[in-house]
Amino acid sequence: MILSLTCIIALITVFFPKDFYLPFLKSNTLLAHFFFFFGVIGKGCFLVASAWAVIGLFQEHRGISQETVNTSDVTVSNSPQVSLSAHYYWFPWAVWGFAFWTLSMFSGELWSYLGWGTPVVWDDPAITTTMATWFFYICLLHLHLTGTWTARGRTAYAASGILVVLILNYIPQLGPYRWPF
Amino acid sequence: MAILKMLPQFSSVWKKLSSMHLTIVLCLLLTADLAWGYVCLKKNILLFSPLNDIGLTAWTKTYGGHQLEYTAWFFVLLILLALFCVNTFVCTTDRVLRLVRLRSHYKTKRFFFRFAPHVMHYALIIILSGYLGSYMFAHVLDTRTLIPGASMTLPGTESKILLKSFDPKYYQGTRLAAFHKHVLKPKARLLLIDGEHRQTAILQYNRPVRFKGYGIFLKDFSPKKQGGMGMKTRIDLSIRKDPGVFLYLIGMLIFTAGMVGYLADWIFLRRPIKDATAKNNFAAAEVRDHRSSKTKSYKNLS
Repeated sequence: MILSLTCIIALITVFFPKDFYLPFLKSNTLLAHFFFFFGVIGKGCFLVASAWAVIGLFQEHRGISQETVNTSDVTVSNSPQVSLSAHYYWFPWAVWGFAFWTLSMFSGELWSYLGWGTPVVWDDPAITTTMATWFFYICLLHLHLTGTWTARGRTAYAASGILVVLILNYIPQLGPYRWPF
Repeated sequence: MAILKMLPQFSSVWKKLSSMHLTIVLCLLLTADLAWGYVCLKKNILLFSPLNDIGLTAWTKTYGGHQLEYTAWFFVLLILLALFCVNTFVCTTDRVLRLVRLRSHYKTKRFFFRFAPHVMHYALIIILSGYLGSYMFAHVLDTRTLIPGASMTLPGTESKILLKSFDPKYYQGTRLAAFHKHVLKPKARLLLIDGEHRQTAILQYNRPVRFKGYGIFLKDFSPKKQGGMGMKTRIDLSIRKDPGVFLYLIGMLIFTAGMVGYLADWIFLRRPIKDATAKNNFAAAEVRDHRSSKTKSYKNLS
């Protein structure tokens, strides 16, 4: 599933190119590269987390994995048991995705401060979608760590991350249609 | 906590503000509002560019207040962020107090790591306070041009900045023809004069100079190419006195430290226990699945 998703995204970018990773004078700093690469890793982790959640939901729908794991070490208030196949696999990816996304944002803010004198440069609308994605995953981590919502609801929320990442972070990066050959 | 018991009304408000459901709702609203913001920014990007230079108050009175169809999302964002900060503070303080009360239940190392998420929460409040301070109280001198030998006085002081020379590094390679003889690294030599005290500083892109509480940033320069069009040498400066910088830089550092603490706790202390439990359960599940499939096949055979 992850491989198919990667292929689809790669194919779409071939037909709808916007720009490429072109350096400019102010990007001559490590922070600019950290911003880019941490962001890419973060998005990758989010997509993998969503893929695992989709698989979990699909398996649950088919009744393949009805076994559960007790998460007594996590603060769980209203649902002491969560679906093993789903939570066990998507949660670490969501955590790593959030960590890399945060590092990307901080690198970007530091670069922005050193280059432009302010941590938020409003010249690029992508700043809002980056923050939107961050809040979406803050919500997911809080849902999981506090046990708010049912296990199925949380897995469905994690699965919907695929739409958030694609709509907020991939589609704005697409350019007009161009035949590549 | 004694205050909470003494004032039942305050206690009730505190309890509502510490609700995790409020956090979830606020996060979802922030996500939706920022997505709306993307659409508005895309339609009218020039409306927001002056925000960094003229500050929030002046921007609200001019650009922000007069085009609400494009800027309403930003005011909603400010309200949501304010609520989010209050919710985060109350929620975290509540849990930190509980954690301190139950400290005897934890081993020392575990107790220390349990604070990591709370460190991140407080750091976020510090970062957002820094941004607010920056947008409210920053003093910005945008685009101050200097030519070699010329100087300017910093406002409210007797101190001066003088451009001694501009010595950029040019691209000398041949592989990228389009960049031939173009500036790769602009480098301005400044003389910072404070009364009798004189000091030389090098100003470059991404390397601002700090002087008398001001941050001096290189905004633009000329010429961009060696021997190009006979353009005169000049540099454009952006000079900022920003009281929020220290707060958001410290906030980011603390947040990162909290995140590292949380990840360390998760990887080294919590996850091995969880993995073992999950793997055992998973193995048990597989055995049971295997047995049930065998039973089914026997039934089919019979």
